Amino acid sequence: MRELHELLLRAARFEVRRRQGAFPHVADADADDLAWQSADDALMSILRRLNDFRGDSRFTTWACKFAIVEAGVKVRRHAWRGREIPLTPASWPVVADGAPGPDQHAEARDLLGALREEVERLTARQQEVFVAVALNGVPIDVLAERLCSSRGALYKTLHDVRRKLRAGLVARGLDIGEGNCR
Amino acid sequence: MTTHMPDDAYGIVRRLVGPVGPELSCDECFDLLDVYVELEERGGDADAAMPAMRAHLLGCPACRDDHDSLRALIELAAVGCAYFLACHLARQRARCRSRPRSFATRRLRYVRMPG
Repeated sequence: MRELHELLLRAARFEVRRRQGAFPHVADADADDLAWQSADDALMSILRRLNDFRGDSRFTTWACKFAIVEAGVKVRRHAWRGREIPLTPASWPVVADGAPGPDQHAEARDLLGALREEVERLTARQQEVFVAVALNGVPIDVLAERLCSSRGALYKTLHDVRRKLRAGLVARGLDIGEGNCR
Repeated sequence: MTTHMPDDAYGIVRRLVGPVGPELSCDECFDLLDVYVELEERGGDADAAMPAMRAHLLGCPACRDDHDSLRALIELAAVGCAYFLACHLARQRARCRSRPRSFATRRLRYVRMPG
């Protein structure tokens, strides 16, 4: 059990250090505390779900994913503590003025305008989730905590919203092709 | 407000409306993450084996972060194992060079001495 906890702590520390790059204001003392908490919580989850391990991967990989996910969630929540969640489209994308090609410029402006109109047709809850996560880049588990929901439930909402938006754009004759978030 | 060139508009909208096709939920993604990452590590076609997983990773930034971290950790562990093995072999070689007589030779001499 001690060896498993050591493995989980190493994985959690690795993840916390990785996330510190994106959230540099997470202090080193807090980071180690978050790693310990993550390792403890991951160990509890593993003990609860030990029967789920089917041997399709190495046990160490299976166990480390618990620590990685716990640490990722904790760092994101810690980094957003005390910060307001932007639920309005403050950073709505617009086409730059003076862009080359008036036709191209008009087409791009129409596309972004159509998307904005489709977003405005969503319910208030759907708009909140889409704007916060997709547009403003709020981590989904941070939003889930603030809205007293779960990551899975919010992602389901986001998935439904995206299908609706895509269908709306296609109905307007705008084919945007395959989606890619990378 | 963010301004973009017209060429970017389709890319931005594609990113906002996410991937097409069936995709896993976050819970299903978590359940399969270790298997998917090990498939990738072995050089297997993980996307062909689990197409709905790739779609989810493209659409869900949090799960994508978890995937990238687990993969990086496993790769680091593999590099760490290789490094540890290389160091161990180097130490053994150095030990052999510093001691011309091997354990077997010394043992043999010891055995011959009484005779």
